[in-house]
Amino acid sequence: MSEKLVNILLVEDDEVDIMNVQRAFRKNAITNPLFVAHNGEEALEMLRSGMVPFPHIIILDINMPKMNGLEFLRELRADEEFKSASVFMMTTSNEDSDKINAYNLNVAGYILKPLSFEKFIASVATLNNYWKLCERP
Amino acid sequence: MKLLTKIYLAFGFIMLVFTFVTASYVLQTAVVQEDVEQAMVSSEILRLSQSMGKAIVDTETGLRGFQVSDNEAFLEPYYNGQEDYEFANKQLFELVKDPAQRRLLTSIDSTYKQWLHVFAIPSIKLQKEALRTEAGKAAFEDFRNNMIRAGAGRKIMSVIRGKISTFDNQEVLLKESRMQELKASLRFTDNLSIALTVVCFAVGLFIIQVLVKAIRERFRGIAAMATEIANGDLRARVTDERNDEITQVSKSLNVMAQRLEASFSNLKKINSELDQFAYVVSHDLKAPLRAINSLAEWIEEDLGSDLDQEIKHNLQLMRGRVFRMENLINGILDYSRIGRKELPKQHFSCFRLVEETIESLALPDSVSIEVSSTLPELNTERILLQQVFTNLISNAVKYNDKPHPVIQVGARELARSYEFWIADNGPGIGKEYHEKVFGIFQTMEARDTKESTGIGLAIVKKIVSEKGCSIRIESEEGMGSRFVFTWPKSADVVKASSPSAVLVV
Repeated sequence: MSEKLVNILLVEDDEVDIMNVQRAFRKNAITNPLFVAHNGEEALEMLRSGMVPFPHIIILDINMPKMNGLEFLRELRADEEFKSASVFMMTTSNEDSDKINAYNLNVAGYILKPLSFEKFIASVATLNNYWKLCERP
Repeated sequence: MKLLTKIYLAFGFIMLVFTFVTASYVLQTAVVQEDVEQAMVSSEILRLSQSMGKAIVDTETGLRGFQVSDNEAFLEPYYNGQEDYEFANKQLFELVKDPAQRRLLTSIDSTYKQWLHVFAIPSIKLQKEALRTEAGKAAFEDFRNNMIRAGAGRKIMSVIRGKISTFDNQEVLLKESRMQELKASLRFTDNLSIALTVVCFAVGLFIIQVLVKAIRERFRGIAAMATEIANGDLRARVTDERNDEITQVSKSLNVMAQRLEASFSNLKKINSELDQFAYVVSHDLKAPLRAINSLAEWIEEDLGSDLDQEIKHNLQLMRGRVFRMENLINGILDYSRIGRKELPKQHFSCFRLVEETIESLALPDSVSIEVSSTLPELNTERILLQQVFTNLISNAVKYNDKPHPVIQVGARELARSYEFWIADNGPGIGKEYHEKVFGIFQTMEARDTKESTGIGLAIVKKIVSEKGCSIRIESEEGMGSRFVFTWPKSADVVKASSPSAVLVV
């Protein structure tokens, strides 16, 4: 089975949240390569320098230093190469304005960070199914 | 110019015109009076001229009587006639003003005097002399032959008569022309009065029209502006280029609107700052909490089965407190959000709303809820009312100590609002706590006994207060509780009347 796994770029500044995702991946036996950027600028650099090979999916937090998630997304959509990239928002913000802004920037999904880890694992499992579909040749 | 000045000027002008009308009428009356007097004088002149003529005839008759009879007694009318003539002539000279008539009168007088001196006086003198002496007789005979028989006296007399007749005719003509004048001036007076009254009326109407227009248009402008402001458009201003009392009102209104707009935008700014603050609180305060929770969970997980029961219990307590902290943050966020956002208004049935609320609460089977079918239909913010019902019904179930909680929801119509109640068969609330339970973070039991933030009733009270209504508790310990709140009937806030309905001058 010549698997060509989807690369996952996690854009997140909180150390615990990164650990959270990593643990969730381990628990769900998700083997996709995971890249981590700590803010929007870093993520853009990683994408443009080709550090994250295609195909890829981006998981994006909103509140981050230097360049926040929505600013990053705006920049990304303006870029010919990445304007059709799959992006999932993953944030604590339940504000309508954030959701509307995100969907206006063509995101594939909006995951509200739940406090409980179990719920988060369920979300990641759903995401995993989605990737499996993407990986189908 | 001041508005009052304008009104004074307008009315002053009308009064001035009326004064002019009256004055011209008085003047014309004087003219008419003069004409009447003139006509009367003419009649008097004609009468005097007649008596003057009669006097001349008398003198002639007297003279002729004496000439015929030689009796001096016949001379009496002659002398009386002269006196009458002098009297009438003198009066005529006083009355006659027309220069041509005066000349005629003078000519009559001189001709008469000529008759007297050339004919009458010599005739009498010679006749008297003839009565006394023979020589006189001859002289008189001579005079009689030369003068009397030749008709010298008669000739002069006929000249006089002719002149008097001319004089009379002239005078009649004059009188007639004066009567014409009188009629003309009467007509003129009438026409002038009518014309001036019409002009006055027209000017008055015009001034009133101008004043009314000036005032009405501007009041309309002010009313329209007030309506716009009342309807929420704070940028509305009224323009008034003039400089009078109404302009001052307009200016004050504009200043008022400006201040209102300034404080409103300030309020908006503060509100958005508060929104920002709420956002920061919700995100930044919750992030570390979530991290603590995750870490506690991982520690528990990583230590595995050989975990000491006490450590496990403590970790669970820690996660419980984190959970409570998040609830408190959410509660205070919800509380701060009430009334800061415009919510859409909907028309809906309260009965359906309560049913949906109960369904969404997923209550245990032991709970029975009776919803009165008399719940009204409302046009209001559905979300807010749903929040109130959710909080009150879930409280009624949550704090119920009976095995079979019974909850009743009902409503009745009041004058301006509906009164809703949610009654339960729970433990009840002592009178001393009836106010206190609505305070933020106030709970009846320790949070450890019953997990609760103490924010639910505070939110209910704030929502109800925002709608200008009230909530109260009817309860005693052990008797169950009954939460009674009112809700406005119509969602329409005081709506300003449209400008067309505003009464204007």
